Amino acid sequence: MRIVTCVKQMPDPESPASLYSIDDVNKKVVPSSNVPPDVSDYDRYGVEAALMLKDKDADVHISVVSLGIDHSLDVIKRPVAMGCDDLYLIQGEDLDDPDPSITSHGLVAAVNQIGDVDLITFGRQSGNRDQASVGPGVAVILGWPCVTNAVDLEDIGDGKLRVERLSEGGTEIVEVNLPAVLTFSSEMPHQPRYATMRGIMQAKRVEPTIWSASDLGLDVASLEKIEVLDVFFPTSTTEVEIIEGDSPAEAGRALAQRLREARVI
Amino acid sequence: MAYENGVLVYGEAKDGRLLSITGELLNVGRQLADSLGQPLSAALIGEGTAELAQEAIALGADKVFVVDDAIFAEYLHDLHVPAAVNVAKEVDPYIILAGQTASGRDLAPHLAFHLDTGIAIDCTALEIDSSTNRMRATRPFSGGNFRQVIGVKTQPQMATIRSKAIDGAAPDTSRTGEVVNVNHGVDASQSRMKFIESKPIESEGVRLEDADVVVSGGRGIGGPEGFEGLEDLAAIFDGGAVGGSRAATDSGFTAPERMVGITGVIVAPNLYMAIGISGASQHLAGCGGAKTIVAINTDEEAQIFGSSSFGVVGDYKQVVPAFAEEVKKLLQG
Ligand SMILES: Cc1cc2nc3c(=O)[nH]c(=O)nc-3n(C[C@H](O)[C@H](O)[C@H](O)COP(=O)(O)OP(=O)(O)OC[C@H]3O[C@@H](n4cnc5c(N)ncnc54)[C@H](O)[C@@H]3O)c2cc1C
Repeated sequence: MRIVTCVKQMPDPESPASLYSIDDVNKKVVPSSNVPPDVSDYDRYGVEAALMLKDKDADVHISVVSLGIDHSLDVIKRPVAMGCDDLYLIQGEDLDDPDPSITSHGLVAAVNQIGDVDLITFGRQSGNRDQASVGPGVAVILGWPCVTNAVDLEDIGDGKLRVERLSEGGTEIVEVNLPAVLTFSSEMPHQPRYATMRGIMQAKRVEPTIWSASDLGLDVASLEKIEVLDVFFPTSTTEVEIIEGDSPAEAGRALAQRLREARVI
Repeated sequence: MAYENGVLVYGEAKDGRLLSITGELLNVGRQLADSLGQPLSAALIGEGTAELAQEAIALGADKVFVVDDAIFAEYLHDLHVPAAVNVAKEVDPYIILAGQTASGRDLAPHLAFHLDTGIAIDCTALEIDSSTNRMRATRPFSGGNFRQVIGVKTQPQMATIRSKAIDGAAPDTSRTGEVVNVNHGVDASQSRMKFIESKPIESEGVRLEDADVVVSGGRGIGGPEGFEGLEDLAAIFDGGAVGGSRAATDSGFTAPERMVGITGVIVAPNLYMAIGISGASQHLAGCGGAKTIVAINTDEEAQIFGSSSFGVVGDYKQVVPAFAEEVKKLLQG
């Protein structure tokens, strides 16, 4: 089986908003140099899912594909260090965190170049855009079925996967025909694995294949479907009232009384 | 450009009733339609949805497009998406809205790509720009750290709305409207996906998303044992439920479906207690709609205090038992 796992590089999602400024001209938030780049959180679960299939079948080949600008090889090679086989980067000034339509078309072009792909895995959404649209977009453009918010998978043979996914009020099991697209959420049986020593050595040796949008025949501007009209920091108006007491237990009791007085309880 | 066909919302129903997101969609959809001077339509795809059409009209729809078939009893991507595409093509609307729910978050982006249009995901406010007559969609992004306003450059303009971000419409049973049965044209035998079974979460008492009081614990709780105390506290309240941060659910302190946040459950209770939770934006995205947030945290600098109305700086192990005992007294007294 040939798997492509798509990974986005983005600024560390847990760095506080105070480390960002707003670029009003380009309608963007700009991280300060203190915000390190990272692999988008949920994408690590898409990588883990692909590796779970490889654990069971050594013939599984996993290619990592990332679209963006300014890839840090240290960061974007992490999935290879976890156990993936090779790396493809789609790069360019015109691919700076673009619209999901552009990203989807770019990834599809890469998948077509790679050829004979049976499965594409994603994270459920990026940690900086939260749009959850690129996996579905790739599936629609390729005409493949898509299971979103998957949390477990198993190859049941016959060109089919059995997938558990989040649903309203629980999970559900579906079977899906390959080729297919799956997006993963963090409620998996285990957390994504760490890189191994061997993986780190392997990652050092891997030379990424690099394409630009035009190498892949993409007309980026014509694919744009949404625009950012404005960007701003949310305003918070909550003023906290700290309840004190002679001991933590006293403070706990005082809190209950204060909530009663304020008719919260 | 199909300007005159107004706004189409994809409603959701379960067990023979419309879900609250449907009322929220119809409320904001009505406002957009009125700003445009255009009609509001609702699509109801499911089993037994024909009987809910009048209810959707009472909530503001002028026209209800019904797809009522047993094959749509459970949300299955490979059947619902083509049915939704067919309804969109029949209605040919100016704007399409869906909910950012378990099924809507799957349906909506697929629908956008099938219709070759753009979509603003997980919005908390929608309005029509009166100078351009186009939709402005406000959405949190980067885990809730920032806000942006999105314009969709293509037709139809699409958006999903975050649940509980917008009030539900109040029903007006005197409203009248038209009901259209749509031939969905979906052949279930062509599906590349098969529904095998659902594994509902067995939970006693009130559902987390409907709870009036949510007691949530984070990494600071330290382990599953600590959550037992939170269970006891939640049980004191009528309509109390326990939630957790992602750090707590990822570490196995509590069940994954208890996760509150941008990628977990969205709650809007009267009282939200964040205990041993630092207050990351991704977590606050799931509880920011609470009427009152109370934080208990050993770190007085914790970000959670910035979003809370009341707080105690201290170790939850000492604060919570005394708090619980006092609440019990007050509620009984
Ligand atoms: C893409 C993405 C999506 C995410 N989605 C979600 C989501 O939906 N929901 C979510 O919750 N998170 C989500 N996260 C994770 C989020 O960024 C935070 O990492 C997480 O919420 C932190 O959980 P926490 O507050 O429990 O842990 P921490 O940040 O480690 O905070 C623990 C807190 O406990 C306090 N504490 C320690 N001991 C005690 C004690 N004895 N008594 C009282 N207080 C104590 C500490 O002072 C600290 O403030 C997401 C992250 C990413 C990147």
